[in-house]
Amino acid sequence: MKIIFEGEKEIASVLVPAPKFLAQLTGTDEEKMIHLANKDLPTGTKYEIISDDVDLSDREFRNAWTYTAGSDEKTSADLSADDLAKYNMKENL
Amino acid sequence: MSTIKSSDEHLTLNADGSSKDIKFQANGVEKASISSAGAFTSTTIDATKLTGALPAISGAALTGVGVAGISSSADATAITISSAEKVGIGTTSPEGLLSLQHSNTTAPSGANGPTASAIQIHNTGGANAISAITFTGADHSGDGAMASIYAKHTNVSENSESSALHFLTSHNEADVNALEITSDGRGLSQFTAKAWCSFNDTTINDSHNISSMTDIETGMSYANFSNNMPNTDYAVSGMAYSHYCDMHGPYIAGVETNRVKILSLLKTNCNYGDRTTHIVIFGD
Repeated sequence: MKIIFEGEKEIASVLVPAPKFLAQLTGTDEEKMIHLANKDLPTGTKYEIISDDVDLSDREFRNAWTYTAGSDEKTSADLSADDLAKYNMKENL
Repeated sequence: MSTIKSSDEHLTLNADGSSKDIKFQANGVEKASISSAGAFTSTTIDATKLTGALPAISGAALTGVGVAGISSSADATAITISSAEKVGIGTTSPEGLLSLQHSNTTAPSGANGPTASAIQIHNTGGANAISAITFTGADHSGDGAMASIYAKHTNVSENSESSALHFLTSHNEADVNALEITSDGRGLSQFTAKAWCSFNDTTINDSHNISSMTDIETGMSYANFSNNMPNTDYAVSGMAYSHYCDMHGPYIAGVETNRVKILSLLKTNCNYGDRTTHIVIFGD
């Protein structure tokens, strides 16, 4: 799974999870991706989780990619105080 | 004076009849006896009068024997103190002041940790309890040469137990926290990589202390740290390669405590997308 969202310069960004990081999380694959979005995306960022089957290999016009909200758009939330401490984060982004 | 004695022959006291004991009394009070089975019983035995060897019996049959504060249920030799005053556990020929000997090829893991270990230090102090081994020299009364290895049990809740390992040295009479291996396997020191990653645009091949990569535009990515850096003074080293194209970079495009921005571009008119970038990060 990956996470897509609107990044800098209104270009679509793709967040690729590190397998080792996901492996230390608990829950379903989607729950792990939601946790990752809460951790690595600024709070309030609209995003979607996409399957690994989505082909992103053609990068000829990479800077023309745009993010369009789909039917299952989510919004990144704050991490808990415990998670902030665990990740050595002083505050949510 | 009351005496019973024989003259140049054995003196026989005989309690006639089945299960009859021989009893010794003083002033009408029984002080000792020999049962029909041959067991000698006495209210007290004056140890200063005892000589000769004790009978060979099982240690398990002895209770209340030895130094106060030592308890033993052993039925075989567990501790040997040699004539050179060296102590052996698991060996009857200790070479060091304290020698432990066992035969084991199983690494400590989970519940078998204690049984697979020659030494187990168990601290019941709860969260943040510290189990330490300390090496001292010179004036070791608090300010001498000292090095220590200690485990800090940062979480003792069931199913969430976590322990970190610290290596402490001393330099010019000051403690140096040389290395901490965190409970999740990271090395915190000036000489261990804080993070590293091998990645291309859409895949992380392998990594350490990286939670994700964000592909933000052509050639530009964020490496997001699992655990943030304490400051932005860290050092980033990187290399990149492509099977088909010449490369620009990688370059550092920005540093933050939670991520580093990396630019590694394929040269113009080369869009095979097989770029692989490696980064390694050291810092406080």
